[in-house]
Amino acid sequence: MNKENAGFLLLFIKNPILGVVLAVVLAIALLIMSSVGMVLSVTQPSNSSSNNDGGYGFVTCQEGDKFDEEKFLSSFQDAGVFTDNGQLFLDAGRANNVDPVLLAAISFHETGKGKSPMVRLDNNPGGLYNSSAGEFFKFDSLAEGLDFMARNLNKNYISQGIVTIEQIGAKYAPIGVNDPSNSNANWVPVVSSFVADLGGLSMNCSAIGSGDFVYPIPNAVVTSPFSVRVHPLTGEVENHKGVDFACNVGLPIHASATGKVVRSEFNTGGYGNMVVLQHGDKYTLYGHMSERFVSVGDEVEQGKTVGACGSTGDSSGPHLHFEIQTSYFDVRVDPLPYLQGAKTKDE
Amino acid sequence: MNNKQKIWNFASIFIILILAIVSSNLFSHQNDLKEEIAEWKNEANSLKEIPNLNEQASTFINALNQGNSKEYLTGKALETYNAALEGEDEYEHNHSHTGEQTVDILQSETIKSEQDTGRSKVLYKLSYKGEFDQEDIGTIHQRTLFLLMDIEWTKEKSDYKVSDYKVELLNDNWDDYILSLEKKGDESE
Repeated sequence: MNKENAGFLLLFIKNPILGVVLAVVLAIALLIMSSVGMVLSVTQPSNSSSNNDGGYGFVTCQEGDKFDEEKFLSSFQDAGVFTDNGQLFLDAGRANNVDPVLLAAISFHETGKGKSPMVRLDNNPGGLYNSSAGEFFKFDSLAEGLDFMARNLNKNYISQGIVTIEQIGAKYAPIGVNDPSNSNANWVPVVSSFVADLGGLSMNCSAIGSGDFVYPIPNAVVTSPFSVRVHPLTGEVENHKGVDFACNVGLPIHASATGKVVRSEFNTGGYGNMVVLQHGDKYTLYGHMSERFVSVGDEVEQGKTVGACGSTGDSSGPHLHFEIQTSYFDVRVDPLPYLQGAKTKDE
Repeated sequence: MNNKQKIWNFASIFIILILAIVSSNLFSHQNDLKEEIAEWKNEANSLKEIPNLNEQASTFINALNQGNSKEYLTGKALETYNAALEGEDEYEHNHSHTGEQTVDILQSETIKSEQDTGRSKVLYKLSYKGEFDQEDIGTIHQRTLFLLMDIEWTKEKSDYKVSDYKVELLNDNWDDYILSLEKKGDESE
């Protein structure tokens, strides 16, 4: 190092106090920057949740075939205010994309199986605290309290990818945080035990994607692929311009990408209950649905429910017919490369 | 030898040299011309095959439509056919059947890419009754598709065969119908 370049070192050697002051200033600046980063990382998930308009984000749950509804409902005996109210849990869970079994198990745990004053007097089955009002939530009816609790579970847990009992427990009742009696350590085993008593979890939750286009239903199984070709043996033209996914009637169908509703109708051309969304220069079509939940002109976020699985129009059984059109009702492309992230919206 | 003779000798040698170069060039150019003529003859013969290939393309599409395309196939096209025959067709699925299809060839163009290969593009109209067509209950489901088939030809011995083919859907009357429904909706609003 040249003597001229070593000038600042000589300055610090001759003025050690100046060096110390600079070091302290640097440390404070670093501390502030890291704090800002932490705040941003904490607030980001809640922002994305609120953007989902109460929807299901990119994680959604599908009720399995093995759910024993009778056993579930029969578990609501000798359960305080929950007695004979199993249907309320089913309704709140299904409406908010939360496993009713999980909802019931957490409520059982939080209320001493329906007997705590908070649920008896205030209809608060989750022991939910309103931090802005500085008191526990109060509801007019148990149905209202359950619906709020299910919405909260979906918004802050399920839609964030926190889906297992262990994952939920780590956030809902973190061990060692504001818990002098260490009762939170029992949260996961007790909730798991209630889940087992209620017949086991009834829903499988999974991410439906994170790319420009995501799967419109969870755990999507293709029953008929995109195929525009002439069959080599029979010569029949296979003119299947979309991909068919297996689904049960009533299963929520989600917007594959953020966009605007350009058609929402019962289509007599064969699509039955059909919704078409526009995403820039591309369109997605959802056909044969039993119900439609959006109207022309609506702006929808990726993951929002646009309809429910059905078998309307030219359909021989419940399924979702899903298309990606690169020009409106003209050119279609195989949706799978887009759903699998191999192709983006601009391709 | 006087100066005059020297000049004449020098000029003679120079003229002979020039003549030798010119004759050599002419000879070489003649060979080039012969080769070129042979190439043009080959190309002319090759181009003579185009009308036949155009016709063969139509025959192939009709045969394919009848499910009798095997004898026209070679290479990748034949592999795809055999895979479908053995039930290993990657696209195989249980979708709707079109039943009887009517083919109407509208236009066929062929280019010779090389001496023994060629490529045809055939525009054709295909009509069929859809599986939901039930005249007795008043449901009409008749489809008309305009398709563009891209056929690759490869010469095997003396005959051309289809080594690959792809089809592109240009227009479907069903889409026109769906768009017309939207327009009707707009008008009634």
